[in-house]
Amino acid sequence: MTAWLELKDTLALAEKRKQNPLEIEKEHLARNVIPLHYQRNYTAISLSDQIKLLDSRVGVCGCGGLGMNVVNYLARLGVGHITVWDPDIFSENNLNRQLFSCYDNLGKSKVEVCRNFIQKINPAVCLTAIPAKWEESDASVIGRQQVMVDALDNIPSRLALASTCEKFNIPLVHAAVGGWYGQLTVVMPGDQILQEIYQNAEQQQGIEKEQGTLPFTAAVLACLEAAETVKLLLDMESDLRSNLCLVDLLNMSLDMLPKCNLDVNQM
Amino acid sequence: MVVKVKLFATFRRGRFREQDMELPDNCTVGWVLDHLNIPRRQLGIIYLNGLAATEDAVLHQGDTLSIFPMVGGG
Repeated sequence: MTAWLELKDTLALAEKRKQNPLEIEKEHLARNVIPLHYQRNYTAISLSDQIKLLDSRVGVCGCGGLGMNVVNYLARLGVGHITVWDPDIFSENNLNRQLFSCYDNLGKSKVEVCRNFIQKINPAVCLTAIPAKWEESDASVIGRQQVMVDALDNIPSRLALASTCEKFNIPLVHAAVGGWYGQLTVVMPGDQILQEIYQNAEQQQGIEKEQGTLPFTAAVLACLEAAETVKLLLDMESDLRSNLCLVDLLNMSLDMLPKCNLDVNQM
Repeated sequence: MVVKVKLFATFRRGRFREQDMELPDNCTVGWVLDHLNIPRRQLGIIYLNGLAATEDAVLHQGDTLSIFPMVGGG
Protein backbone atom coordinates (compact mmCIF):
# COMPACT_ATOMS: atom_id res chain seq x y z
CA MET A 1 0.00 0.00 0.00
CA THR A 2 1.32 3.41 -1.02
CA ALA A 3 1.71 6.11 1.61
CA TRP A 4 1.40 9.83 0.83
CA LEU A 5 2.96 12.94 2.27
CA GLU A 6 0.92 16.13 2.20
CA LEU A 7 2.63 19.40 1.36
CA LYS A 8 1.57 21.01 4.64
CA ASP A 9 3.36 18.23 6.52
CA THR A 10 6.46 18.61 4.32
CA LEU A 11 6.57 22.32 5.03
CA ALA A 12 5.96 21.83 8.77
CA LEU A 13 8.78 19.26 8.96
CA ALA A 14 11.10 21.52 6.97
CA GLU A 15 10.37 24.38 9.34
CA LYS A 16 10.86 22.23 12.43
CA ARG A 17 14.13 20.70 11.23
CA LYS A 18 15.38 23.86 9.49
CA GLN A 19 15.72 21.84 6.29
CA ASN A 20 14.84 22.47 2.69
CA PRO A 21 11.43 20.91 1.78
CA LEU A 22 13.25 19.17 -1.08
CA GLU A 23 15.31 17.14 1.41
CA ILE A 24 12.18 16.15 3.32
CA GLU A 25 10.56 14.93 0.11
CA LYS A 26 13.63 12.95 -0.97
CA GLU A 27 13.85 11.33 2.45
CA HIS A 28 10.21 10.23 2.25
CA LEU A 29 10.46 9.00 -1.34
CA ALA A 30 13.40 6.83 -0.32
CA ARG A 31 10.98 5.16 2.13
CA ASN A 32 8.29 4.76 -0.60
CA VAL A 33 6.24 7.64 0.79
CA ILE A 34 5.16 9.81 -2.15
CA PRO A 35 4.61 13.55 -1.76
CA LEU A 36 0.94 13.95 -2.62
CA HIS A 37 1.59 16.73 -5.14
CA TYR A 38 3.57 14.20 -7.22
CA GLN A 39 0.86 11.53 -6.96
CA ARG A 40 -0.19 11.88 -10.60
CA ASN A 41 3.42 11.65 -11.82
CA TYR A 42 3.38 8.08 -10.60
CA THR A 43 3.85 5.51 -12.21
CA ALA A 44 4.81 7.22 -15.47
CA ILE A 45 7.64 8.55 -13.31
CA SER A 46 8.91 5.83 -10.97
CA LEU A 47 9.84 6.60 -7.37
CA SER A 48 13.55 6.32 -8.12
CA ASP A 49 13.14 8.63 -11.14
CA GLN A 50 11.18 11.09 -9.01
CA ILE A 51 14.14 11.24 -6.63
CA LYS A 52 16.42 11.69 -9.63
CA LEU A 53 14.30 14.63 -10.81
CA LEU A 54 14.42 16.24 -7.37
CA ASP A 55 18.21 16.05 -7.56
CA SER A 56 18.33 17.42 -11.12
CA ARG A 57 19.67 20.78 -12.31
CA VAL A 58 18.22 22.50 -15.37
CA GLY A 59 18.99 25.94 -16.77
CA VAL A 60 16.39 27.81 -18.80
CA CYS A 61 17.60 30.70 -20.95
CA GLY A 62 14.74 33.08 -21.61
CA CYS A 63 11.65 33.57 -19.47
CA GLY A 64 9.01 34.52 -22.02
CA GLY A 65 6.40 32.61 -24.00
CA LEU A 66 8.48 29.43 -24.04
CA GLY A 67 10.54 29.78 -20.86
CA MET A 68 7.75 30.42 -18.37
CA ASN A 69 5.85 27.38 -19.56
CA VAL A 70 8.98 25.23 -19.46
CA VAL A 71 9.77 26.33 -15.90
CA ASN A 72 6.14 25.80 -14.88
CA TYR A 73 6.07 22.19 -16.12
CA LEU A 74 9.50 21.28 -14.77
CA ALA A 75 8.66 22.72 -11.36
CA ARG A 76 5.27 21.00 -11.16
CA LEU A 77 6.89 17.72 -12.12
CA GLY A 78 9.49 18.10 -9.39
CA VAL A 79 12.75 19.09 -11.09
CA GLY A 80 14.53 20.22 -7.95
CA HIS A 81 16.97 22.89 -9.12
CA ILE A 82 16.03 25.32 -11.86
CA THR A 83 17.97 28.41 -12.91
CA VAL A 84 16.28 30.88 -15.22
CA TRP A 85 17.82 33.87 -17.00
CA ASP A 86 16.02 36.87 -18.48
CA PRO A 87 16.80 40.59 -18.14
CA ASP A 88 13.33 41.75 -19.22
CA ILE A 89 10.37 43.21 -17.38
CA PHE A 90 6.76 42.47 -18.33
CA SER A 91 5.27 44.68 -21.00
CA GLU A 92 1.72 44.80 -22.29
CA ASN A 93 2.47 42.87 -25.49
CA ASN A 94 3.52 39.88 -23.35
CA LEU A 95 -0.04 39.39 -22.05
CA ASN A 96 -1.19 37.29 -25.03
CA ARG A 97 1.11 34.37 -24.19
CA GLN A 98 3.41 34.66 -21.19
CA LEU A 99 2.10 32.42 -18.44
CA PHE A 100 2.79 34.53 -15.36
CA SER A 101 2.11 37.90 -17.00
CA CYS A 102 -0.89 39.90 -15.86
CA TYR A 103 -1.89 43.55 -15.77
CA ASP A 104 -0.64 43.96 -12.19
CA ASN A 105 2.80 42.59 -13.09
CA LEU A 106 3.54 45.00 -15.94
CA GLY A 107 6.93 46.59 -15.34
CA LYS A 108 8.09 43.83 -12.98
CA SER A 109 11.04 41.50 -13.57
CA LYS A 110 9.91 38.36 -15.42
CA VAL A 111 12.24 36.02 -13.56
CA GLU A 112 11.32 37.48 -10.15
CA VAL A 113 7.60 37.09 -10.86
CA CYS A 114 8.27 33.57 -12.16
CA ARG A 115 10.14 32.67 -8.96
CA ASN A 116 7.26 33.92 -6.80
CA PHE A 117 4.71 31.87 -8.77
CA ILE A 118 6.86 28.74 -8.68
CA GLN A 119 7.33 29.11 -4.93
CA LYS A 120 3.54 28.92 -4.60
CA ILE A 121 3.19 26.06 -7.10
CA ASN A 122 5.95 23.86 -5.69
CA PRO A 123 7.74 25.16 -2.58
CA ALA A 124 10.19 22.25 -2.74
CA VAL A 125 11.78 23.55 -5.94
CA CYS A 126 14.93 25.67 -5.61
CA LEU A 127 14.53 28.27 -8.35
CA THR A 128 17.40 30.67 -9.01
CA ALA A 129 16.17 33.76 -10.85
CA ILE A 130 18.85 35.72 -12.70
CA PRO A 131 17.50 39.04 -14.02
CA ALA A 132 20.22 39.36 -16.67
CA LYS A 133 21.17 38.01 -20.06
CA TRP A 134 22.67 34.56 -19.69
CA GLU A 135 25.72 35.77 -21.66
CA GLU A 136 26.42 38.38 -18.98
CA SER A 137 26.23 36.08 -15.99
CA ASP A 138 28.82 33.70 -14.53
CA ALA A 139 29.42 30.97 -17.12
CA SER A 140 30.23 28.47 -14.38
CA VAL A 141 26.53 28.50 -13.42
CA ILE A 142 25.77 27.00 -16.84
CA GLY A 143 28.58 24.51 -16.35
CA ARG A 144 26.76 23.13 -13.29
CA GLN A 145 23.54 22.32 -15.18
CA GLN A 146 22.69 18.84 -16.46
CA VAL A 147 20.46 20.13 -19.25
CA MET A 148 20.06 23.60 -20.74
CA VAL A 149 16.84 24.80 -22.36
CA ASP A 150 16.89 27.31 -25.20
CA ALA A 151 13.79 29.47 -24.72
CA LEU A 152 15.39 32.59 -26.17
CA ASP A 153 13.87 35.02 -28.65
CA ASN A 154 16.72 35.88 -30.97
CA ILE A 155 19.01 33.92 -33.24
CA PRO A 156 22.48 35.26 -32.25
CA SER A 157 21.82 34.44 -28.58
CA ARG A 158 20.60 30.94 -29.50
CA LEU A 159 23.78 30.26 -31.49
CA ALA A 160 25.97 31.57 -28.67
CA LEU A 161 24.13 29.34 -26.18
CA ALA A 162 24.67 26.29 -28.40
CA SER A 163 28.41 27.05 -28.44
CA THR A 164 28.51 27.48 -24.66
CA CYS A 165 26.67 24.19 -24.10
CA GLU A 166 29.10 22.50 -26.47
CA LYS A 167 32.01 23.92 -24.44
CA PHE A 168 30.56 22.58 -21.19
CA ASN A 169 29.46 19.29 -22.77
CA ILE A 170 25.80 19.87 -21.82
CA PRO A 171 22.80 18.80 -23.93
CA LEU A 172 20.60 21.65 -25.12
CA VAL A 173 16.86 21.43 -25.74
CA HIS A 174 15.96 23.93 -28.47
CA ALA A 175 12.62 25.33 -29.54
CA ALA A 176 11.63 28.38 -31.53
CA VAL A 177 8.22 29.69 -32.54
CA GLY A 178 6.65 32.10 -35.02
CA GLY A 179 2.93 32.48 -35.65
CA TRP A 180 1.35 29.03 -35.95
CA TYR A 181 4.71 27.31 -36.40
CA GLY A 182 7.50 25.96 -34.28
CA GLN A 183 10.62 23.84 -34.38
CA LEU A 184 12.18 21.61 -31.77
CA THR A 185 15.32 19.56 -31.40
CA VAL A 186 17.73 18.17 -28.83
CA VAL A 187 21.31 19.26 -29.43
CA MET A 188 23.78 16.76 -28.04
CA PRO A 189 27.40 17.91 -27.54
CA GLY A 190 29.14 17.64 -30.89
CA ASP A 191 25.99 18.29 -32.94
CA GLN A 192 25.97 21.36 -35.18
CA ILE A 193 22.24 21.37 -35.74
CA LEU A 194 21.58 24.98 -34.68
CA GLN A 195 24.44 26.23 -36.83
CA GLU A 196 22.81 24.32 -39.69
CA ILE A 197 19.29 25.56 -39.00
CA TYR A 198 20.47 29.16 -38.80
CA GLN A 199 23.13 29.01 -41.49
CA ASN A 200 21.31 31.66 -43.54
CA ALA A 201 20.62 33.93 -40.57
CA GLU A 202 21.79 37.44 -41.22
CA GLN A 203 19.10 38.90 -39.02
CA GLN A 204 18.14 38.53 -35.36
CA GLN A 205 14.66 37.18 -36.01
CA GLY A 206 12.81 34.81 -38.32
CA ILE A 207 9.18 34.64 -39.42
CA GLU A 208 8.01 35.72 -35.95
CA LYS A 209 8.97 39.27 -36.89
CA GLU A 210 6.03 39.32 -39.30
CA GLN A 211 3.89 36.51 -37.88
CA GLY A 212 4.05 37.41 -34.19
CA THR A 213 3.90 34.72 -31.49
CA LEU A 214 0.66 32.92 -30.69
CA PRO A 215 0.00 31.67 -27.16
CA PHE A 216 -0.83 28.06 -28.01
CA THR A 217 2.19 27.71 -30.29
CA ALA A 218 4.50 28.83 -27.50
CA ALA A 219 2.72 26.56 -25.01
CA VAL A 220 2.86 23.48 -27.28
CA LEU A 221 6.56 23.89 -28.03
CA ALA A 222 7.32 24.61 -24.36
CA CYS A 223 5.52 21.40 -23.36
CA LEU A 224 7.62 19.47 -25.85
CA GLU A 225 10.79 21.12 -24.53
CA ALA A 226 9.85 20.14 -20.96
CA ALA A 227 9.19 16.54 -22.03
CA GLU A 228 12.53 16.29 -23.83
CA THR A 229 14.31 17.81 -20.83
CA VAL A 230 12.85 15.17 -18.54
CA LYS A 231 13.84 12.39 -20.95
CA LEU A 232 17.42 13.66 -20.91
CA LEU A 233 17.46 13.88 -17.11
CA LEU A 234 16.13 10.33 -16.80
CA ASP A 235 18.33 8.85 -19.55
CA MET A 236 15.30 7.94 -21.66
CA GLU A 237 15.43 7.43 -25.42
CA SER A 238 14.34 10.29 -27.67
CA ASP A 239 13.98 10.46 -31.45
CA LEU A 240 14.73 14.16 -31.26
CA ARG A 241 18.39 13.44 -30.59
CA SER A 242 18.69 12.59 -34.27
CA ASN A 243 15.81 14.57 -35.71
CA LEU A 244 14.45 18.05 -36.13
CA CYS A 245 10.73 18.31 -35.37
CA LEU A 246 8.63 20.88 -37.23
CA VAL A 247 5.24 21.73 -35.81
CA ASP A 248 2.55 23.39 -37.94
CA LEU A 249 -0.56 24.05 -35.88
CA LEU A 250 -2.38 25.71 -38.78
CA ASN A 251 -2.23 22.56 -40.94
CA MET A 252 -1.97 20.27 -37.90
CA SER A 253 1.19 18.57 -39.08
CA LEU A 254 4.24 17.38 -37.20
CA ASP A 255 7.24 16.45 -39.34
CA MET A 256 10.34 14.72 -38.08
CA LEU A 257 13.37 15.33 -40.25
CA PRO A 258 16.77 13.76 -39.92
CA LYS A 259 19.47 16.08 -38.66
CA CYS A 260 21.82 17.18 -41.39
CA ASN A 261 25.40 16.00 -41.45
CA LEU A 262 26.77 18.89 -43.44
CA ASP A 263 30.01 20.50 -42.32
CA VAL A 264 28.80 24.05 -41.71
CA ASN A 265 32.38 25.33 -41.89
CA GLN A 266 32.42 24.36 -45.55
CA MET A 267 29.31 26.41 -46.38
CA MET B 1 12.71 15.76 -64.65
CA VAL B 2 10.37 15.45 -61.68
CA VAL B 3 11.39 16.55 -58.17
CA LYS B 4 9.21 16.27 -55.08
CA VAL B 5 9.12 19.68 -53.40
CA LYS B 6 7.90 20.04 -49.80
CA LEU B 7 7.22 23.42 -48.26
CA PHE B 8 6.86 24.16 -44.56
CA ALA B 9 5.14 26.73 -42.32
CA THR B 10 4.60 30.14 -43.95
CA PHE B 11 6.04 28.94 -47.26
CA ARG B 12 2.89 26.84 -47.74
CA ARG B 13 0.65 29.89 -47.87
CA GLY B 14 -0.49 30.58 -51.43
CA ARG B 15 1.74 27.76 -52.69
CA PHE B 16 1.39 24.11 -51.62
CA ARG B 17 2.47 21.61 -48.98
CA GLU B 18 3.93 19.01 -51.32
CA GLN B 19 4.10 18.80 -55.09
CA ASP B 20 5.85 16.74 -57.77
CA MET B 21 7.31 19.55 -59.86
CA GLU B 22 8.38 19.18 -63.46
CA LEU B 23 11.69 21.05 -63.59
CA PRO B 24 14.28 21.76 -66.30
CA ASP B 25 17.21 19.32 -66.27
CA ASN B 26 20.18 20.34 -64.12
CA CYS B 27 18.30 23.17 -62.44
CA THR B 28 19.41 24.23 -58.98
CA VAL B 29 17.73 24.67 -55.60
CA GLY B 30 18.06 28.44 -56.14
CA TRP B 31 16.08 28.15 -59.38
CA VAL B 32 13.21 26.51 -57.49
CA LEU B 33 13.34 29.21 -54.80
CA ASP B 34 13.10 31.90 -57.48
CA HIS B 35 10.35 30.02 -59.34
CA LEU B 36 8.30 29.81 -56.13
CA ASN B 37 9.03 33.43 -55.16
CA ILE B 38 10.43 32.41 -51.79
CA PRO B 39 11.90 35.48 -50.07
CA ARG B 40 15.55 34.81 -49.20
CA ARG B 41 15.34 36.84 -45.98
CA GLN B 42 12.78 34.31 -44.67
CA LEU B 43 14.74 31.27 -45.74
CA GLY B 44 15.84 28.86 -43.03
CA ILE B 45 17.18 25.44 -43.84
CA ILE B 46 17.00 23.52 -47.12
CA TYR B 47 17.04 19.73 -47.12
CA LEU B 48 17.82 17.77 -50.27
CA ASN B 49 17.07 14.07 -49.84
CA GLY B 50 17.25 14.50 -46.06
CA LEU B 51 20.56 16.37 -45.99
CA ALA B 52 21.20 20.09 -45.68
CA ALA B 53 21.84 21.72 -49.02
CA THR B 54 22.75 25.10 -50.43
CA GLU B 55 21.06 27.10 -53.17
CA ASP B 56 23.62 26.06 -55.77
CA ALA B 57 22.94 22.33 -55.30
CA VAL B 58 21.92 20.74 -58.62
CA LEU B 59 18.69 18.74 -58.60
CA HIS B 60 18.18 15.33 -60.17
CA GLN B 61 15.21 13.22 -61.21
CA GLY B 62 13.49 11.72 -58.16
CA ASP B 63 15.04 14.10 -55.60
CA THR B 64 13.06 15.34 -52.62
CA LEU B 65 13.58 18.99 -51.76
CA SER B 66 12.27 20.42 -48.46
CA ILE B 67 12.31 24.16 -47.79
CA PHE B 68 11.83 25.76 -44.36
CA PRO B 69 11.51 29.33 -43.21
CA MET B 70 13.63 30.64 -40.37
CA VAL B 71 11.91 30.55 -36.99
CA GLY B 72 13.51 32.24 -33.99
CA GLY B 73 10.84 33.51 -31.58
CA GLY B 74 10.31 32.50 -27.98
